[in-house]
Amino acid sequence: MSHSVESELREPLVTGDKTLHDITEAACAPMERKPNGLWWAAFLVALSCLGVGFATVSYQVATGIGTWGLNKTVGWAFDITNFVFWVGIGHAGTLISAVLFLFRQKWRTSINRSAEAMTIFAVICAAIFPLIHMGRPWLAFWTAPYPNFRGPLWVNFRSPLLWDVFAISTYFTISAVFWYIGLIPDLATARDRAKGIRKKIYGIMSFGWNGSARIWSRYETAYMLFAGLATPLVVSVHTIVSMDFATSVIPGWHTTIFPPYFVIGAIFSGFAMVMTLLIIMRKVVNFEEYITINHLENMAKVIMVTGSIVGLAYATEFFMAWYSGSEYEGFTFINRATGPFAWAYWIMVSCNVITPQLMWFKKLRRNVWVLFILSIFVNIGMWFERFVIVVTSLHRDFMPSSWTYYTPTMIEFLTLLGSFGLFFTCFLLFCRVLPMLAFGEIKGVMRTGKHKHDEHKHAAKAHKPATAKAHEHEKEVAHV
Amino acid sequence: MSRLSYSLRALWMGVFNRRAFNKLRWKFGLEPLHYWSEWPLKGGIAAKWQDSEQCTSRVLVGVFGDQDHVLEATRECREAGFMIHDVYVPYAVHGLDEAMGLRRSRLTWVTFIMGALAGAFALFGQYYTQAIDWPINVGGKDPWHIHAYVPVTFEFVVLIGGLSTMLALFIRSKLYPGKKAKLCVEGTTDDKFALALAQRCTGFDHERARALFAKHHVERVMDLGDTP
Amino acid sequence: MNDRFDNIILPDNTPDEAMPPEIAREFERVSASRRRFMQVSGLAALGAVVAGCTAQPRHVVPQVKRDAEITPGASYWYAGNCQACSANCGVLHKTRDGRPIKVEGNPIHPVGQGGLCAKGQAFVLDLYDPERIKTPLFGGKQTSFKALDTEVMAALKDAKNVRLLTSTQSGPATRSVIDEFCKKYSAKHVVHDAIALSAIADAHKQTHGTRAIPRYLFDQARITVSFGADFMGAWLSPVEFARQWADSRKLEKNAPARLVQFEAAMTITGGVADTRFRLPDSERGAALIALGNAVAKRNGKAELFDAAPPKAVPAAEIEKLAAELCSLKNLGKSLVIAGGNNLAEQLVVNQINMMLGNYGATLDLTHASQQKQGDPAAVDALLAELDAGNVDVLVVWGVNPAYDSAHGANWVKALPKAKFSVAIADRLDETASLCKAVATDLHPMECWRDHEPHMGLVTLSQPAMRPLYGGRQAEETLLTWANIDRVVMHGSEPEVMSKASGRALKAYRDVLKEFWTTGVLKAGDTWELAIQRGYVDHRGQPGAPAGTNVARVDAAKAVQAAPKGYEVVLYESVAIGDGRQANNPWLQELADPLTKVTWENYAALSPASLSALGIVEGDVVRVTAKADDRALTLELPAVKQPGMADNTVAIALGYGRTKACKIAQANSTSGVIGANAYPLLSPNAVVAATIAAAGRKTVLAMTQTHDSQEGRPHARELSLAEFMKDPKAISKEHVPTATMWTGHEYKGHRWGMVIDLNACIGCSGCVVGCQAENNLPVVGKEEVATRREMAWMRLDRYYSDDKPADQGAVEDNPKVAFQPMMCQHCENAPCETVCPVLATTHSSEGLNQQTYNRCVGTRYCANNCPFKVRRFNWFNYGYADPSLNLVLNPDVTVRTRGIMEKCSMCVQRIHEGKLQAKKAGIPLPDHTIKTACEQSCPTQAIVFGDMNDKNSEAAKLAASGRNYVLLGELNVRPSIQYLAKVRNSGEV
Repeated sequence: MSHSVESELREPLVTGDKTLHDITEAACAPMERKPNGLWWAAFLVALSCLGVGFATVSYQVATGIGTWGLNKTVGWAFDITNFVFWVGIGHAGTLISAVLFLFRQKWRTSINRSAEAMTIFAVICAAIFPLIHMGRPWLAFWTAPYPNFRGPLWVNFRSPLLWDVFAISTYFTISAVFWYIGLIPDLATARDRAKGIRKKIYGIMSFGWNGSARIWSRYETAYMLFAGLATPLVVSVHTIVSMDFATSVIPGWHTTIFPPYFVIGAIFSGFAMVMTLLIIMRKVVNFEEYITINHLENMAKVIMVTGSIVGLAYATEFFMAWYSGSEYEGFTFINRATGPFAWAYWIMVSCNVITPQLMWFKKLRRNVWVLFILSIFVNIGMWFERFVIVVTSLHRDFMPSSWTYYTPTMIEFLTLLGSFGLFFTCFLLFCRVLPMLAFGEIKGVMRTGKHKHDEHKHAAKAHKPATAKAHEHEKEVAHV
Repeated sequence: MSRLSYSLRALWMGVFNRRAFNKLRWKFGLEPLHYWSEWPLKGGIAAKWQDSEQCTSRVLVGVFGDQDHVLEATRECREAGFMIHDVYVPYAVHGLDEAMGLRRSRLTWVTFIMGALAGAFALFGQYYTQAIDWPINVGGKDPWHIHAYVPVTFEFVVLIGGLSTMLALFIRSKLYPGKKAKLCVEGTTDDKFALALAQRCTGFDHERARALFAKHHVERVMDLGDTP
Repeated sequence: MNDRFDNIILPDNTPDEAMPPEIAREFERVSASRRRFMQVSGLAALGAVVAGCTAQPRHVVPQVKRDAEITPGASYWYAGNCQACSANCGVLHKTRDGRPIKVEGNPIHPVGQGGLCAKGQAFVLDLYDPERIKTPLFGGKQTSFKALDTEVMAALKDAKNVRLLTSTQSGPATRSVIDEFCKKYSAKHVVHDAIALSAIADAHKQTHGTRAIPRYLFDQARITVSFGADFMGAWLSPVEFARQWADSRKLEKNAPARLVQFEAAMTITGGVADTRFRLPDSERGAALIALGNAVAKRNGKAELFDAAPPKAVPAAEIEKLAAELCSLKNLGKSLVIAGGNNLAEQLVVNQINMMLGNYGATLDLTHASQQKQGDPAAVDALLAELDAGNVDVLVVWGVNPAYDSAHGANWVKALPKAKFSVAIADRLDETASLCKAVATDLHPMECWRDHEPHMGLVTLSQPAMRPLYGGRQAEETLLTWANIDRVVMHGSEPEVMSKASGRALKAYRDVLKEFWTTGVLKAGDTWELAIQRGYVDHRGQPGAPAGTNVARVDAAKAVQAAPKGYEVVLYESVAIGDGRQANNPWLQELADPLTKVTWENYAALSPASLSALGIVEGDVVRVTAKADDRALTLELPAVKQPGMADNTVAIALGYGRTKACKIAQANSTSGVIGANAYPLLSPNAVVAATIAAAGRKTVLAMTQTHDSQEGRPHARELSLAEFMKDPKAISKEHVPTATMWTGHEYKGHRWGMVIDLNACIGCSGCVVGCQAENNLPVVGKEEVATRREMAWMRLDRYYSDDKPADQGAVEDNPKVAFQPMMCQHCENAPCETVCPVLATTHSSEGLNQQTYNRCVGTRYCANNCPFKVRRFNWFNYGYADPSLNLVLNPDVTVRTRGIMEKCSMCVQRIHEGKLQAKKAGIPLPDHTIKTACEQSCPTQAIVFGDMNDKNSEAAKLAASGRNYVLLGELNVRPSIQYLAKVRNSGEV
C-alpha cells in the first residue's frame, strides 16, 4: 500500500464522471435488477448446449469411449485438444489477475474479476476432458496417491499425466481461492445493499467482512502472496501440460520449445477469450465506461505480441525439425503443412499468425468490431493449434504401417459444444449473481489519470454536502 | 495388561498434569485453567488477540466521504496520541496502513514455512512411494532421479502454500463463512470511510478528537458504546 | 444343465458305470448342510444327464468322473490332423477341462512340421460355430437319427442310381467306408474340390502313366520357378511347402535357394520371391513354352513347342532363367510349377521338369500327393445326371457345390430333381439346405478319422472332445446306412459284414482301430503310438516312374488369346480360402497379407488400371464377365494392388456366402459379405471382363493404409551380394547407447525374440495363432474400418521403393516386405513412463507387462509407443454368440472395455514352461517355451528365448550380425531383434 507515481499523461481508467457510489450502483446493478431478455436468451442457449453435452457425455461413458472417432494410432484428439484449449483459456484470467497485479498494471481492475471467473470455469471445462477421455472414468481416483491395500500400489510420479493431475487441481484450487478472496469485499458490499434471502446468502458468503483496515492490510498482503504464487503456477501449469507432449518420444511432440510455446499460446488464446467475453459483456450490461476501449486496446496489444511470439515458435519448430537432421521430425513437420491435415495447419497459421498482425494499426485496434472478430479468429486458431499438435503428430509417426486418418464423430463435436455450454452457463450465472467488476479495486484506481486534473472539481463536489452534514451529526452526537 | 495401562496413565498424569500446568501458568501471570478445553481461550495467543481487539468498549467514529480525508485524519489522530481502534474503508486505501502505524503482516512467513514443509513432504512422499515402499522398474528408469519429481513437488508447494495462506488470513482476521458482519456505520462497504478511535485509554479527549475530525471534513461523528 | 462344459476324453477301456462311485459316496454323506445338499444334487443331476444323453458313454465321460490322468485346469494335447483344407497338416489339439481351445502344428508331423496356417489356427473356432446344426433334419424339420436312418435306408433300398458326392477323402479307412457304401448300393463316388488341381494329375497320367499329383520337395530345389502357383499361400499344401522353402533358404547352410515367380495377381509367394515377373494368365502358356524351348535348346534338343513368345516378359529374362535352370548344379535341383488348372500348361511343366531331371529329386511320384483328388469332369457329369433327373439318391458329404462350384446356380436347380437327397453336414449350407434330409455331421475335431496326405504317410486323428451337439460322424452314418460294422482295406477282396438288424453298430473308433491294426500298421507300429504321434510314415526315397515325352503338345491349347478388356484372376485368399470357413470371424477379420483388407473381397487392380478407369481405391466397380455360358456381374470395391498385371482384375473366392454365415453377414449392410465369384471359375480359358465404375464409394476395412516405408529402415533387406560382402554389416551400424539411467539388472531369465525377415512369408498364421492364444476379440467390419482392430501381432507389409531395373514404375512391380510386428518389450519402454497409475511396468525378466485391472484407459501409452502396437478396448468386444466363448483360453484374462492391451510375449506360456522345468528340477531348456506366434510359424521365422542364456538359439541369432532393432536411435532398447532379409536375385 504505497503511493504510486502516476504519469500525468495517463488516460483515465474509468471514464465518465463517477463517484464511488456510482461505481457501487453500476457494479451491483446486474445482480440486483431482473435480467433482460438478452441475458435470458444467452442463458437458454448456453443451458441447452450444456444439456446436450451432459447427455452426450453420459451416453459416451455408458457405452464406451469408442463412440469417439479415435483409433489405434490416434489415441487422443478432441479430448486433449479441448483440454489444452480450455486450460489455455484459463491462463489469461490468472495472468490478468496476478501478473498484471504484480506489475502494478492498474487497468487490470475492470477486467480481472471476469477474467478470473473465466479461469475457474475454463479450468472446470478443461478438467472434464482428461476425466471423460479415460476408458474407465469411474476409476479416475486411481490417479491419486492414496494409501491403499493393493500392495500398497502407488501412482507413477514420472508420468506427465500425473503431473497434470497435480497441476490442474492445484491450479483450480489456487485460482478459486484467489478469486474468492477477491470477491469477499465486493460480496460484503452486495450484502449491505441486499435484503431478505439474498442478504443472508451474501452474508454467509462475505465471511463477516466489514472493511476493517487492519484486515484490509492483511488482505492486501495475502492478495499479493496469491498473485506471487499464481504467477509461477500459471507458468508451471501450462509447462506441465506441454510436458504431456514434450516428454514423449513422438516426433512433433518431443520438443523442448513446448513449455514457453504453450505458455505464450495460453496467454494469447486466453486474452482472446477475455476479449470475446468482455466485448459482449460490456455491451450487454452497459459497462462501456468501466471496460473502455483502452482496456480492449491494451489487450489487443498483448494479443499482437503473443501472436507474433507464437508465430516465431511455429517457425522455430520447423527450423529445428530441419536443423536436427532427424528424419522423423522433419517428416512430421512437412506432413503438418502438406499432409492430410494440412487444412488444420493452415487454419491455425492464418488465424494465429496472420490476423494478429492487423493490430499494428491503431485504427483497427480501437475498433470493437474488428477486435471481436479477431478474438474469435484467435480462439479458433488456438483450438486448431492444439488439434494440429495432438493429431498430426500421432496420425503419422514412426511406423508407416500404422498411419491413419482421424475423423471425429458427432459425439466429439457435441462434447465440445457441451463444454462451451458449461462455460457460458457458468459465466452467465456469474454475471447475474456475483459482482462482475472488482469494484473494491476499481474504486482504488478510479482517480488514476484524472487525479490531478479533477482535484478541485472533485473536492468541491465531495465536500459541499459533507461539511453541512458533518455539523448536524456533531450536534447529534453532542446530545447523546 | 493392567501394568501397561497403569504405566501409560502415570505417564499421562506426569506430562499432562493440570495442577503442575496451572502452577506454571500462574508463574507467567496467566489464569489457571479448569478444563483443558479452555486452553486456547484463556490467556495464550488467542487471549492476547482478544485483549488487543476486544477489550475496548467505546469508540468514537468519524465518517468521511473521501479517502484523502480519512487518510489525513488518521495520520493526525495517531500523531496526536489517539489510539486508533480501526478504520473502515470500502477499498484498500493506499497509505492507510502507514497512517495507522500498522505492522507489516506476517502472512508471508506462513506461506513460506508451509510451502517449504509441503515441498519437503512432497519430495519425501515421492521418494518413499517410488523408491522405498515398492520400487518398480518403470521404463528402465532409476527409482529415484529428481528430475521427474520436480513438477509435483512444485505444485504441492504452491497448493499448500496457498491454502495455508488463505487459512491463516481467515483465522487471523477471524473471517469465516456465515460470520455476522459488525458495521460501525452504513456505507463503509460502499463509499464511506469511518475512522474509529478507541476510548479505552484514560483521558480520551473528545473535543480534540472531534476537532481533528472536523478539520478533515468529517461527515458524521458517532460515539459508539460498543466496538464494531 | 450345460453338459458341454464338462467333457473330457478318456483313454481306452474305461469301464462304464451308471453312477460314478464318487457320486454314490456323496449321496451317503448327505448331511444337514443345505449347501452340501445342493452340491451333491448338482453332481447327481449332472451324472443323470450325462448317462441319459450320451450316445457313446463308453468313450466320453463327464468331468465329475475324474480319471487319474486328467487334472482339471491342466492342458492336454491330442494329436490330430487339420481338416481345414485338404493338405492335412499334422496338428495338436490343446484341450482344457474337456474342450479344445487351440490348434497347433504337430512338430514331429512330416506335413507342416509344427507350422500351421491361419485357416488351421482358426479351425478350432468352427467347432463352436453357432451355425452348426444340432439335430438331423428331414424335410426341414428336426428329427432323430433313428427316424432319419429309416427314411434314408428305405430310399437307398429301392434306388438304382445312387451317387455319393464328397470332398477329397484320402484316409484309407474312410475311402474303404466309401467303397463299401458304394458297393452296397452300387453307388458312384464323385469327389469335388472347390478349387481343383486335376490338370496336374491328368498331365501326369499322360506323361508318367499315373494319374497323380506329385509330392513336391521344395527344400531339394536350388531354384524354384513358379508360374502363378501361390504355393506358400493357397496352392495344394502351403504350410508344408513354406517350411520346405524356408529350409532351402537358411543362410547358415549355403547360398539361399532362389524363387522366381511369374504371376498376374500379387500373392505372398510373389511377395517373397527373389525375382518376380508380372505375367497375365493369358500369357502363362506362352511363357512356359518359351522357357521350355529355351531349356530344350540348352539341353541340345529340338524346340519342343511352337508358339509366339510372351509379351509381358522379355525374352532375355527367359533365356537367363533357362541358363540358370540348366546350369549343371541345378540338374535335378530345380522345380518348375504352374498354377491354374489347364492341362496343356501342366503338360509343358512336366516336360520342362523332365528335361531338368527333377522327377525323383524334387518331384516324387512314388509317394504321390493324395491332396486335392477332385475331378471336375466327374462333378460336371453328376450335375448333368441330376439335371436329367437320373439320380435316385444323392448323398452329399462335406462339399458345397451349390456354392463353391462354377455351376452353383445349376446345382440349385438340379439338386432337387434327385428323387431323394441327403446331406451329411454339420451346418445348413447352400447345398445341405437343398437336400431333403440332413444327417448331422460332426466337426472333424470330434471325429476319429485317418488321412493319407502322401502315399505312405498315413495320419490318424482322434477326437479332442465329445460331440458338442451330439450328432454322428459321416463314416459312421455311411456305415449305418450300409448296415456294415467292419471295413477292410481299400482295394482288397470284399468281405462285407452285414449286421443283423436291431443290434447297435460298432462305434467308428472300433471300426477304425480294427482297420488300422489289420491293414495299416506294419511291424514296429502300434495303435497307441499312431494315436500319440498322429501318423505312421511308410515313405521311402522319392522316386518317379520314367516319364515319356508325350507327343508334341498342341501349343494352341496352351497359348491363349489375350481376352478383350480385363482378365479375371480368381484366387483363394490366405484368410478365407475356398469359403468353407466363411463364418469364422477370426478369418474374416484377418487382414489380407497384401491388401490388408478385411471382411470382404474386392476387385484388385493395378495402379495403372485404376487410373485408366479413372477411379480410386474404395470406389465400387461393376465387373461384368462371361465364363463359358455363365454371365455374371459383380459389384465390388476396387483395391489398388501394386504388382498386379495391368488389365487384370483379381477377385478372391470364398465370399458371398448366403447360408450358414450369420456372423459374417452381421458385418455387412447387404446381408452378404463380399461377392461370390465362383461362377467365373473356368479352368480352360481366361475369363474376360469389362469393368465400369458403379458410381459409389465404400469404406474398406483395412488394417494398413500406407504402402511405403518412406525410406525408413524398418523392414530391411540386403541383396545376396551385399550380404556376402559383409554378413555383419547391419549390426555394425551405430546405435546410440548413452543413457541418463543406471539401468536395471536382469538376473535369471531375460526374454527376447528374434524375427527372421528372410523367412517370413506373410502367411498370417501367427496373427490368428496369437488371436486364439490370447483371447483377442473380434471387433467387426465397422470397427476395423475405424482402424481399431485388436491384433496384438500384426503383419506390416511395405512395398519397397527401390525399383527393379526394367519393370516400369515403382508401383508396377514393387518389392514386398513383410514384417511381423508386436510389442517390442523395450527395456526403456516409453509406454511405461507415461502411465499415471503404473498399469504398465517392467518385469524382472525383461517383459513389458500390462496390468489390465489397474488400467484406467488414458491411452497415453499407446500414443507414446513408437511401434504403435498397443490396442485399446474401445467397447466391450464380446462374442455375439456365447457358444464361441468356449474357445477362450482360461490362462488369459478377457479384457473389458476401457483397457489397453498388447502382446504379453505369451507370458502364460512362459510361466507354464518355467513351472514345468522347476517341477522337473532342471534348468529351463531352450525351446521349451514357445510363444503362440513362434509355434504357428510355418517357416520358423520367429524364435523366442532367453537372451541371458548365450547358448539359446535366440541369443545366437541376436548376435548373428544380420540382426537389428527397430528405431535404435530412440534408445528404447527393444527385446525383439529382426534379421534382415536377403534377396537372392541370382547375381552371385
